[in-house]
Amino acid sequence: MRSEDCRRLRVWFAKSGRAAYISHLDLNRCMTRAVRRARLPLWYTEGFNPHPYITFALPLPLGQEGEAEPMDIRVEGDMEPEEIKNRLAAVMPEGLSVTGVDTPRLEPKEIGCAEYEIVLDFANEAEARLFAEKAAELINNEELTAGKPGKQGGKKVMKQVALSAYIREHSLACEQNRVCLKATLAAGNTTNLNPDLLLDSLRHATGLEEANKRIVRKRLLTADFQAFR
Amino acid sequence: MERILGKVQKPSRYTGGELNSVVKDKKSVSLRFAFCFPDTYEIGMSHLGMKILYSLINAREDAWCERVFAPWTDMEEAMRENGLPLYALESGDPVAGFDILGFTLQYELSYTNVLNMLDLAGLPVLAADREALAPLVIGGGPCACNAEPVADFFDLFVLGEGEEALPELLDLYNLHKQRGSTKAEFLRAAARIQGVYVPSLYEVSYSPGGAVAAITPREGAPEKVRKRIIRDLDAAFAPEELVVPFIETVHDRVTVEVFRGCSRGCRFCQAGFIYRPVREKSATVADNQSRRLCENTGYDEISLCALSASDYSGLEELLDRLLDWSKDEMVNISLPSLRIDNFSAELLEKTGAVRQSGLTFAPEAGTQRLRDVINKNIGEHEVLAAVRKAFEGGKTSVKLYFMIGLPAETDEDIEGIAALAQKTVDEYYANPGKPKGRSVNVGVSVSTFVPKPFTPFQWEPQDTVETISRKQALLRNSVTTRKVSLNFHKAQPSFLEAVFARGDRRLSHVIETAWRNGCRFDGWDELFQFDVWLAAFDACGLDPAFYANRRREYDEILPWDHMDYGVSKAFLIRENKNAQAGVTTPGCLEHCAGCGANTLCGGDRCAF
Repeated sequence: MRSEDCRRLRVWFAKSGRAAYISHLDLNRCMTRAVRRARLPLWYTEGFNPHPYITFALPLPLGQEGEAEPMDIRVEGDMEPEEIKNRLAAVMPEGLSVTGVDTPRLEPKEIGCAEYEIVLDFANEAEARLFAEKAAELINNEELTAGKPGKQGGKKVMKQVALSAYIREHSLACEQNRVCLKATLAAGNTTNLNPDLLLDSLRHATGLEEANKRIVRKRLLTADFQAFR
Repeated sequence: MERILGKVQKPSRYTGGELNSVVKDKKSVSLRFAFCFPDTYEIGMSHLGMKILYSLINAREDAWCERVFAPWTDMEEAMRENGLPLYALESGDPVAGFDILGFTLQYELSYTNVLNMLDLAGLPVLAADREALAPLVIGGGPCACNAEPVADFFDLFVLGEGEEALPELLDLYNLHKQRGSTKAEFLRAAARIQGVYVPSLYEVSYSPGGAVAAITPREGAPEKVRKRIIRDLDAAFAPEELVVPFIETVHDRVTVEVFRGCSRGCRFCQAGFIYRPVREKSATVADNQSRRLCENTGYDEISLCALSASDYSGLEELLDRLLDWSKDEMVNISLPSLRIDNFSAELLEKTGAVRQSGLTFAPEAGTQRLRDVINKNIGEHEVLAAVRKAFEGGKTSVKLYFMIGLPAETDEDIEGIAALAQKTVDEYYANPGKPKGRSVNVGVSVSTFVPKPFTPFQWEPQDTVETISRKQALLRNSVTTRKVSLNFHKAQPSFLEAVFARGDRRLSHVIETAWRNGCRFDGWDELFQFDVWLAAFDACGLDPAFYANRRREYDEILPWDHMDYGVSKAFLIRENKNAQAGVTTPGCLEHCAGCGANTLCGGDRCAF
């Protein structure tokens, strides 16, 4: 069967709890097995090593959770998306849950940014407050920089870049020893800011380190803040 | 925990939560069992025995079996720094609070990891220092056939196959736990179960020369502990689900056992003797199990597992049955252990039906004379015919396994390895249908022979590390083509393996000393610390060469003489003499050599 005879579908899933520690490569393998267990009418790639076609629009970094992550698959025949969703939901391991299946409307390259929630628990309230104040100042005054791998004259170098160029929106809240940073950051194949990098540079600039962190990617957006569908 | 996981390599080694992992309500079970594999997650999760026993224990309503692996050095450091004790993957609960910790002893070089895991759990490493009944520390697996070097760390060992003995042991444990028995009371009762070896019930004395003088059982323990076997593999417990790891493991596929034991009798091979007699699973049962496991895991590969899978009498029927559905399901079939002399083009075609996989053959020795000494029963023409078939089937690379340091080995035998590899290269170029413009690669993997208990070579000295190094250099110089790639296993770890394989109880001090001085993961070249080991032998006043490089007399009392694996000493002596004379012994299927394993089946004949 040729690739034009198959349907592309977008599976929406959440990755939470200890599943955050499944790396992208492992997630790929895990999902390949899940779609096989679900006995979906899969389309297999041709060639020496046939495998189901699975792609992820924007892989999550290791250790981060995601509430609405897209995974594109290709199927043959006319099984209803609802049936596919139910079958997949029944075979998922702990921490991975399928929330919906539909037809892709946008291409992955149209992803421009993503909404994150970064929850940081500090040793005490004073530390949390201090961190929140300093962080707000650093972000507002556009003083944050971080080392990003880049190229200079064909050579790989670490470049110091201003992070403000990647921060689209943000809000900071502090309650007891917890700081909650909500941020919309540049995301996608061309410009992308990993929230771990932002956090690293905040730690460095404030000289404060949290006791526990949780980073959740809430949803993916286009460059003009429309929901990625 | 999150902080730690963010800082270690491959955090999903330590998170659990994989598909098909079993989570129970701890209030609903009376027995918590921690199946401990003293190596990394990736290696442990590839082990079939663990998968069987995990499912077997979890099939009981009264018990919950969880998995524990040795944390890699980065994780160990983080755990010690943060005071996080060794925990089980399913519940995250510290294993010190479990009823039973069951270690599988697959290879001697994992012994320090056992101590390290006990210590990380917060438990004393010596059994005598753990006074309470729980947690009971038990061991099993091939090294249990001579567990003397680790006897001081364990409460008991289960010899042979665990599918029947382990449930009996768990029942007995439950009974004694309810009664509030002491550990000593329980151990005395446990020693009455066939296959259970309680080392503290045996006294070992030594002669001035260092050999064992006597092994004396006490308090009603049996003179000889006889291993357990499952008679009917079709009726034996087999898992319907397997835990599916997130990270890639060494054997990341469905494994279905097709038979136990091996009929061949290669004289160097411990597995060939301690797993006797041969017992086959029927093709229908193996097919059903394969299909069920594929459906429940989503794996796209089945490995048919046996000591020598191509010896399976039901192979053709099984492959036909499997191919009936596996092609449509895009499932690949692999045979990990092919014999050179019964490998067919048809077999290659069938196993290659969906995807290509590599081919490995094991001539083991470079010349016919030496292959006769080790009873490999394979001729050079058979080796060359096999590689020819592989090349005709489109392969451009094959792997050949050899050993050096075999008894009665000469330089000619070493040069013979290079010659056989060269002839294999020549076979590729003699094939008229070879792919145009593609070179051949013959991978030659060379390990160092380790004499093991319960083999006809159990009396033989191992070559010294210096001799092995010289032989490796000789082989390196004998290979004149780049189409042959040589890969040597290091000689020093094999030396240590030889010490512990045939060691006695005094070595427990050495193991403890080496572990306290930082040895762990000794099977990993990058962490192996030979000088620390040598210092530990020195500190304990023991000479490793006494264990590894010394020839034993037939009448010497061996440290494992109170173990009974069915195979008789008289048979092993006969086979040792045959080896010295270069006389081969046909496999069990051709002619019964009278090894004694038939007695395990309770009758005159073996079960097959």
